[in-house]
Amino acid sequence: MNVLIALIFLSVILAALAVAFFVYSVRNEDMDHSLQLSLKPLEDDP
Amino acid sequence: MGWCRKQAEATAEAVDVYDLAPHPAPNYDACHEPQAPSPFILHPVMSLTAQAPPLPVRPSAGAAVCLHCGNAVPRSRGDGYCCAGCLAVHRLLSEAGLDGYYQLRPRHIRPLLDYFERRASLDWLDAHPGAQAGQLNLAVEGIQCAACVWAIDKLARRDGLVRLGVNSALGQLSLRFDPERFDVRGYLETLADFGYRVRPSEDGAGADPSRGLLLRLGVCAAITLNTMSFSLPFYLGLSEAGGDLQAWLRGLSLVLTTVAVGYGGSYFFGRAWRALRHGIAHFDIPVAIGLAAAYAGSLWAFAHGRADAMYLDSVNVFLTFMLLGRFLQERTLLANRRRLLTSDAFSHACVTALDPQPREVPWAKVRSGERLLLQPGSLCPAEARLEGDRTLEFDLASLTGERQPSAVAAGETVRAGARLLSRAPARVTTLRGFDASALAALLPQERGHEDLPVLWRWSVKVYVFVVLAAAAAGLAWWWPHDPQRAAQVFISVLVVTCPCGLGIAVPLARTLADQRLARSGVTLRQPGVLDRLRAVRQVWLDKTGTLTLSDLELADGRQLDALATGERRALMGAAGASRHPVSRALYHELAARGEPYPDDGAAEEIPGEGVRYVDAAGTWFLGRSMHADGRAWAALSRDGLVVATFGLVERVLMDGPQSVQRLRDLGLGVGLLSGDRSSRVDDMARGLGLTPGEARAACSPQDKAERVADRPSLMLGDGLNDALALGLAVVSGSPAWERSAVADQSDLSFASGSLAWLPELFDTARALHRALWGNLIFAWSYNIVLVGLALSGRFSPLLCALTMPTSSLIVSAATTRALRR
Repeated sequence: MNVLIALIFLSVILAALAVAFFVYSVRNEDMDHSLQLSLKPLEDDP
Repeated sequence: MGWCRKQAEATAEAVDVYDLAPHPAPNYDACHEPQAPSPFILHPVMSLTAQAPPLPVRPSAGAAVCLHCGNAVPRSRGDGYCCAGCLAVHRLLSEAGLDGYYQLRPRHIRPLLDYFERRASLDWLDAHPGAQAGQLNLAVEGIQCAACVWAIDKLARRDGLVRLGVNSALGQLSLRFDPERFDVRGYLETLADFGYRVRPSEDGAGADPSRGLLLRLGVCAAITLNTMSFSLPFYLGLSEAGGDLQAWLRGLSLVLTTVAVGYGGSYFFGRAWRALRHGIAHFDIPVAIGLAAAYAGSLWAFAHGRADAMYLDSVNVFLTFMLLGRFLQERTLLANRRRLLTSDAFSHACVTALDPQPREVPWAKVRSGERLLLQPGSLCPAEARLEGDRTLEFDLASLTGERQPSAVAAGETVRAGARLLSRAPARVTTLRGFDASALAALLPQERGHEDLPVLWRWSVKVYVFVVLAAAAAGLAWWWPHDPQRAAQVFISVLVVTCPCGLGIAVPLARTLADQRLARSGVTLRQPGVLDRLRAVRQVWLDKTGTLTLSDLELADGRQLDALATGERRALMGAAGASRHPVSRALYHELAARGEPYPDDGAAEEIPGEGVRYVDAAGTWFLGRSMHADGRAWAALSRDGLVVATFGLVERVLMDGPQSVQRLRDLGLGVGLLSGDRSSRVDDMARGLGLTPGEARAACSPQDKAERVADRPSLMLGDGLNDALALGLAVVSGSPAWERSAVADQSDLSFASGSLAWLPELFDTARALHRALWGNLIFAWSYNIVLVGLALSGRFSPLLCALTMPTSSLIVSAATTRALRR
């Protein structure tokens, strides 16, 4: 049972990390330029 | 320095050659008419190469689809493009090596019918602090698809921009650059050449107002997924009794839900509180009540160990769906606002007053007896007498809607609203003030704010009352028998009636309707248009500039390709030096083909006759004539010998008769209101399939207004002469090529070479209406059944966890189906 509780905490920490990355991404305006970012793979190598 | 500016300077030098009258030098910066730019900056098409390369031309027999935009090519054009704007941008993309644009663009994009009216002044750039700081946030009009984003990005890299951000959904550009090394004006001029119109962002720092909602949505969605996974073991059979695991799962769910309600829910609580304080029935009120009740009830259940009244996962699902719906709604509103930037043609209109010293004065402050200097292309704000000894040419199209170039001799009266066509500035003395002028009476008045749609008002008022009454009734019924059960029933009624389906379906429906209209070339500029459209019983159409394009069009553009190089240069020199509609049509076609403006000639306009152009090859003359029946000709001659003649036509929107018939099939009356003479109006009416009684010619602005006021009407018009009628219409619309306050105040704007968008507009409004009422009926039916279950004490958190997302998905799917074409 203790293992389950530890896993729950681990999942919460992972979820918190995901949220933190999401917040960072939004503040970095990645969401605003999502279409522009999606075109990056089409760019020629420099 | 951009090509356009070089050309402006070269052309200004040419002006000095011929304009020997003792007038002050034209003040180009003071010209406030972006919809009719001065010929001196009338070079929106740059040439990336010194010599224009041959254009890809498709034979007319097979030219069904425009090479640039993918829309149908009218029969009047045989060059494979639907308009000169598409031709221009296609050529520029090709010259810049950006042919990849056509691999990325969708099958159809909006045609560039308003290309030559799209260009806006960049005068604001000199005074903008961001230009010196190397940081600009701009609103941009014209981005349609991923191909546009790609092209804008490529052009920035080519010019050496440090960092560029393109928000295609909202039409925003953010530029970071080194002001010493990057020519930001040149870059923005290049964007304008490619058809993208920029202006400083009205949102200050350029922050996306919906970004806060996106953050809330993301955080709440993550919490929702976690609380749902914590609830799942209980739904699958895990006993509530005893054990650390149960306590941890419930405890964590409560903590996470508290974070979600505190962070995401505060958006609705704040708005509901403000709505209550101002006495406004807003949809956020039932949302906030449902959210607070569900959370408070679950909190109570947690404290009392009542798992049968704990709805933590449902609270999160509800909150996430509400935030998603609100995010969609905000983005749609913002995108619509950006799709068409407003024009500053009239709202900031000024004129140069000469006494006691030259200065800019707003139109509203122009008094009788004041001496004014009119710049070429500008409107005369009040009735005035022309001073000096020269005859100048003016156009009354702003007032009548019809192209009526006419010569005004010195001492004669210039009418208010007349636009100066001649290249020389005009000195006038006003005969009356602006307030008493005919122009002031025609300027549009600001519309009041729209009320909330009926559906929302009705929902909010009735919904809140019924929900609270049902919950109170359940509490009162169960309390004498079982107080614990009474509390559980009270909470479950409030939870089950959370307006989850409506909260997501209504914004979704509006977003889909907006996208459907955008594909047809329609942009909604005011709220509530589709709701008001249901009241419309009559459609009135203006003729010139609305059913036809605003400019004349060369009957056969291939004639230009057949001219010798010297002849083309002379034609460009003569046509580019005049604002006459015939000259403008020739100029547009030449500019679209990349013909550079010659810098070695001198032009002189002879009012009422044409333009004389002198260069090393000889003396050229571009003569023109416009007949009352709408036909126009131009003839280019050298040293008295005719070199070429050109026919010009008024282009009518395609699919007119079919569109009129579809409107009739929808039960709508259709009519034509025009200030033009009856023979031309009758011709147009016949072409549209209208009876003689449905077309009215020689209408004054007041006549149009009276007709529109007779029945609930949709009015389409394009000029000041339509402003009164547009103001009285239930729904008003203007073409996108019209750049004025009239268009800015219209409910909708259209940019299409076909009239097929008009019945599509009504179809969309009806589909939206059906979707909204269908959703409402579903929501009420669903609630009646589940409230019955809740009142009988049979409702459970598991049932809630199943029904709430399922009902939301059902209404979302039904909405998508209803609005899918």
